[in-house]
Amino acid sequence: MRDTRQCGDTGIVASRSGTASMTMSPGLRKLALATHLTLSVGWIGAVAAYVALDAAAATSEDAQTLRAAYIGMELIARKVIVPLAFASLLTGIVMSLGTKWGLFRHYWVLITFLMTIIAIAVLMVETQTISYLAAMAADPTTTDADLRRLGNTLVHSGGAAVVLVVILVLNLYKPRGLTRYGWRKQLSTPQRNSKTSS
Amino acid sequence: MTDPPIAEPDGDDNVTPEPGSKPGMPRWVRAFAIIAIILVLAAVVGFLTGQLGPGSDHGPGRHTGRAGGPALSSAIQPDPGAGAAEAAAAQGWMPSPPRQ
Repeated sequence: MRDTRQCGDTGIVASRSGTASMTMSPGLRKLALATHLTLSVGWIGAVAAYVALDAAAATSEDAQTLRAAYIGMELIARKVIVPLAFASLLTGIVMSLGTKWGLFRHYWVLITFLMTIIAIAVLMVETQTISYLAAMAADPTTTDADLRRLGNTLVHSGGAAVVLVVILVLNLYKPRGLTRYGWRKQLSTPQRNSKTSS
Repeated sequence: MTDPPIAEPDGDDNVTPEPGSKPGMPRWVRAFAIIAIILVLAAVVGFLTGQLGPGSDHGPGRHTGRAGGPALSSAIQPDPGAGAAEAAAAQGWMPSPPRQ
């Protein structure tokens, strides 16, 4: 049996010892997990769509295709990828803090968190470049020759796709490994260790 | 009788943090750290050799007029706050993008 108590009707469950962090009830946890998975996988899907347009911008010589690709890249980046990235980060933090995994206790959670932060930082910088490319493409005075010289963002978008897949794999496999903080936290909750080792 | 090591569904997919694991950096974390160090060193070398950063054709300033990117004959000043799709719609040659 679980040594926990329900905190009113909030769905939050707290350890009776008071030493463990707040954890979500199973129902709330499943809802949060479903939300986090939807947003995170959606982020990967949006990046995949962006990479397709980015590849078209890198390979096409047709001016209309280039204009459409650059403008579509900006729409996907600003209206889909950026919101999904921040929402995924937020729900990920909620999931980690609302379960016994914690945010800094396990290497896989910590590395996932750091990789997400770095990916979002690069995304926010890259968004400026994407906006400029799209503005050039949207400008009817931009010549076809200039359009073909604009370039692409394949290095960043391809790198982002790889990083997101690595994060996904880490979240699926959850490789073992406690951080020093996680080890200290585990030692400070003896009721769990004694129960599981008796 | 002993309880199983994983006694309660706490984490994703009913998997719980492993009890009793020893502190220390696992091999897979070391591999990640080595890869991260290599990438950071490569970035530093790129900046030092001019392949990355301001003045190069790669990096955040390459197309925003703040760095030496390709000189375009019809270069315009970017407006970071405005979307290109809105600009195109305003110019009347593209349908207005869907509003949120």
